[in-house]
Amino acid sequence: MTSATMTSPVRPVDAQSPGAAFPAIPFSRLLRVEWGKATDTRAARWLLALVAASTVGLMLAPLLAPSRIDQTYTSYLRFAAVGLSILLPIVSILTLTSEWSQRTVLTTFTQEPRRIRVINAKVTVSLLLAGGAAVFGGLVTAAGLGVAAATGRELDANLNTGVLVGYLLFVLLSVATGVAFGALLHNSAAAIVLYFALPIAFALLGRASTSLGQWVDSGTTFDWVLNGEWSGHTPQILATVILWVALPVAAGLVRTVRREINDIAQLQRGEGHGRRITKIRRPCPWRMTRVSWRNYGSLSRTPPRPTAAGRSEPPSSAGRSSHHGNLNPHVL
Amino acid sequence: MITTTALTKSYGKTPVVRDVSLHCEPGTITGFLGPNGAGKSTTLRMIVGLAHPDHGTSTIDGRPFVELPNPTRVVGTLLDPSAMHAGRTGRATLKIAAQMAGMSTDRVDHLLNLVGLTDAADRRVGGYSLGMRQRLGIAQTLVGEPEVLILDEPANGLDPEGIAWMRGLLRDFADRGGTVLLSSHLLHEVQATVDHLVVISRGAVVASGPLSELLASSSLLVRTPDPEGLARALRSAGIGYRPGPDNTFTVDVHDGRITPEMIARAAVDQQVPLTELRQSDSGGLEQLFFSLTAATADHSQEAAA
Repeated sequence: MTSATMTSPVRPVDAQSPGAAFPAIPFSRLLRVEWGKATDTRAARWLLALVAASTVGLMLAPLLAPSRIDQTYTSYLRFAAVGLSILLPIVSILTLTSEWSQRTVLTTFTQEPRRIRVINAKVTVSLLLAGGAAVFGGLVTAAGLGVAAATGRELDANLNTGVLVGYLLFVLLSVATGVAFGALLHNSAAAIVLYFALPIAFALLGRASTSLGQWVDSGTTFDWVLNGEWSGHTPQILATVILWVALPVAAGLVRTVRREINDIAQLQRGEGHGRRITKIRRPCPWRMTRVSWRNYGSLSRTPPRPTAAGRSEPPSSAGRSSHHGNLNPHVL
Repeated sequence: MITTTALTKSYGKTPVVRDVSLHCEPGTITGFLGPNGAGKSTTLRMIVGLAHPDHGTSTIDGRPFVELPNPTRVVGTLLDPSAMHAGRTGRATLKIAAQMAGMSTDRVDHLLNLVGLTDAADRRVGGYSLGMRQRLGIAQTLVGEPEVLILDEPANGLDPEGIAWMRGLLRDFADRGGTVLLSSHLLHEVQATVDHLVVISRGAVVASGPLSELLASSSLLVRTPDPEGLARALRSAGIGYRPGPDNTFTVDVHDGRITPEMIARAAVDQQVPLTELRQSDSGGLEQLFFSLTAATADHSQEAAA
């Protein structure tokens, strides 16, 4: 292999300003690329398969327990909604966080330095996936109803536009909450754990104090959306949408635009400072540089003590070759 | 063309990059040389907008990187070969890059072939060695047919054959009018590859210029079977020297004021035979590198901590 096979010509030295030659990346292209990234890995495909399986699985409930569950079009549809809302948000969390975990932001943000456009594309892809999933849920519901009808059950065909809008909004809001967690936290594990843990905490709060809970507990308010119970609840629903979707997305956009992309340990921790959130793959001690030795201490549970850690560095490793080098001292 | 003026950055109270000004001309390869932690990566990341300088500017062909509408058509960047999605194949990785740049994905096969990854193209990157990731990273930088390459430690993980291959590729790229800025702490690699050199230590540029000029300022090596005679000859000619092993002497050229001819004449005058008289090029850059950085290395510990 020689470089002579490289056919791409470098443009003449005196070419005009590069800006004129190449137009900006159109948003449609960003969307196409981000759609591909969100769906082309093995993990993403497994998750999407699980989303489908859990939706189908939950549809078995009204089919198998007809005595305990209302045999109406609406109740079947709500089972599809709940089935989708369990795992689909994880797909959107990963869409937003995996580039930080895999550190491919390094490449992506040099391909499109206007980071906000990349995030917008990821959010749009997540919502498109949610829309597609909602359609899938509708088909599963139709299939479930078909099976129920075939077994000779009486079904109340009580579907109307309000129910369908509520269903679609519920799925979109579930996914948007996942998007918000991913956009803000930049760390898959933290975002997924908090996505499940925080609503439980707020639900407990809601149980302790209903008057306060209904303003912060998205579990309650999103159920209102699903059930079309807007009257008397609209301010509470809007408040939880602001709290769980709008605010974290806005903060996440600010954080994404400002964040410096410079450092292995920083990215793995999802944060430049503070405690470790996820399990960290430590570099082999014998391959570490002077600087990463210092970081070695800060990766442990004990808070880093720069002076003590500084003394522990092996002097012989100063010039050693390692791509773990150049960690900035900021993370100490 | 890459230009930076007085790029400066601190993390907290620790200065990481101080007043770094670079100028890389089309048709040249510039080596950015320094020990680990000297601020090379941070500087490169500021040039491509991943880190924000406290002050100072950087431009590519006269425009800040972040204002380039489609940067990969102008600049190919390889900052960290391990920053690739482990779950994607090499081919998928390049396809995404090609799509993003707006290039035809037909180009992917050609690039895989160019970097010698055709056989591994459909394996997941998670199973690649560091050298293979470097090759894939190089392919990724070339996706948009850029005129500028910015590479952070591109020789890391490559075997000698791979390093020679990369050298040829970069030389060819520069010869066709491209601009290359690469960082390294591998002295020999830099010496054999670059035209210009910028040496950085503790965040500041300590030397820069054409490679030949920086190397020319080193010393001469003289060997003789008659060391006493040569010492006498050099003393009488007023030339300072340091005796070395195996009957050698090292003579500082003092910025060209001492020439090989002067030494030869001094030896002839005293009828001292010489068996060797040359630039002490072996490790010339190494000496330069260590002399520039050693003095500061002792302090870097405290400074960084």
